[in-house]
Amino acid sequence: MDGLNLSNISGLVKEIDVLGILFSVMLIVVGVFVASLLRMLLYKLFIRFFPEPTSRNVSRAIYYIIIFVVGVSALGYLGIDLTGFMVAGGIIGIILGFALQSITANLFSGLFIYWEKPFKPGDLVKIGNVEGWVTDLTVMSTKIVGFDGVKVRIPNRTVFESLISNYYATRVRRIEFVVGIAYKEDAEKAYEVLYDVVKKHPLVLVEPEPDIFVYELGDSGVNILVRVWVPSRWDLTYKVMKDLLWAMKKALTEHGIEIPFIQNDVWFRTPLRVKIEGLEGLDKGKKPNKD
Amino acid sequence: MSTGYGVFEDSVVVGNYRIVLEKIEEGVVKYKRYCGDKLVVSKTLFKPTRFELIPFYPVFLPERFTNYILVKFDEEVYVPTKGEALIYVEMPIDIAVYVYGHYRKFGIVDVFTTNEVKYALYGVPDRGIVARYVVSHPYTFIPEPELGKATVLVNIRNRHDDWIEVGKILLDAQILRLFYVPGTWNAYTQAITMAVNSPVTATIYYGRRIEPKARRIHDPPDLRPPRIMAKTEMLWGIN
Repeated sequence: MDGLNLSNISGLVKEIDVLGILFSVMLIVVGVFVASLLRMLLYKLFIRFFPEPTSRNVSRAIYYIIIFVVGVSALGYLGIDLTGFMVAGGIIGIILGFALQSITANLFSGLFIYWEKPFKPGDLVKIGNVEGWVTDLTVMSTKIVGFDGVKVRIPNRTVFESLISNYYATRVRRIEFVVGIAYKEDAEKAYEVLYDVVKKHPLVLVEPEPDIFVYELGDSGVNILVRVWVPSRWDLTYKVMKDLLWAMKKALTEHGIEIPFIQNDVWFRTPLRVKIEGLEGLDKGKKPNKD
Repeated sequence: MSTGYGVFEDSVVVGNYRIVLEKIEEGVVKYKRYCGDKLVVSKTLFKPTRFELIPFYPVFLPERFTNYILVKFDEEVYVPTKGEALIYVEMPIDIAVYVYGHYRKFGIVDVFTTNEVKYALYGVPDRGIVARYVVSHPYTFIPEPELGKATVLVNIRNRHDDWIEVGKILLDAQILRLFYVPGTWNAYTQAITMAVNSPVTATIYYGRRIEPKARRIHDPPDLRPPRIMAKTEMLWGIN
């Protein structure tokens, strides 16, 4: 019979290995199911700690990694030799590993920052030398608007390794002023004048109490340190900073307390000879030349 | 002349301030507030129907950044084990000028104070509360009403097993209610219960009005968020 050769068909089926196909299909089905389930569960877990876009992207990335592993395993069951593929994949992996090193570092730093929450959008922070308000916190970077209105993007790896000061993490903060008075002045009288000034400002807190004391006997005068506590909100802190120093200066002046200029006594090891033009004649008993 | 809280026309004197309403043309009024001869506030209002002086929550000056008021007693109050003490304290209040238009909607034109404005931290720097600060005597009788002060009736209940020493009370302006008697400077809050649970903690409950004749102020909507439990916890000391 020319039409149907049953012996050829059975040989073909033996070569393909029906069991292998069946197993591969089952592996793919189960793998996709498990990956989808895991994606959903991880998304629900991550959403508790991280923002929604991050949770979605990370769970999706894990989903695709699982699908990839399942796909490769299924091809293996079909009898396809994956050695070359694995070697190529390994090399590509190493190359990508080096190429994406900084990206990976930023990604994981971002995740740790989300986890640790040293700040949140809207906070006033200082990260390294950059000071400003956090406007955006993504997986890869943190964006800050500085006092000058310039937006700065800081990679999360840098953020993670930097010293972070969060001014909004506390309800209040302390600010300091140094006020110099002349050595001849009475520091205790200056305390009273300065205390009256800080007491009058509505945003200087009553508790914790302002602290005023001589902290240094300076080169030109006695330096008094004025420490006051203010609400952490920047516009309020800034207002106190702007108001107080000038108010203290005015009050000291009104009470006749001298604020010294810098004074330097210059001492010469050897005697000096001073030559004054127009006075040469005096040495010889002549009148100085007035022209 | 100062008349007291309530509706005013043309001009009114409140402490050091003088408020003048100038009719520019039909339906247009210029609102001006002077401190002595110095013009402090000037606003133009269209179609106002009436102006009212209202006692106001003391958390809006110099600007709003807290909802709390800390009243410190100039003398401490000792309450015996499982005992009660009924005292009156004076809380600072600011003064708001409400303008009414059609549809009974009101707007706040101006808020000012006749008191010294000071704030203090209640608690620790990282988790404490910044609150408007005032010192009051704990009276055993109703103190004479005064401009810029509201009378607060406080019932201190000692639930602790020992004598307690109370030196301050923390009030939340979001739960507090203010009442006033029109034509006078009399202002009141509702009755407050301070349940002292330990020598350092207490819970503040807000009750009913203490003066039946007093009228309740219309609260600004942003000061009235929905709340489940209308109480304030004092966790960082009571004296």
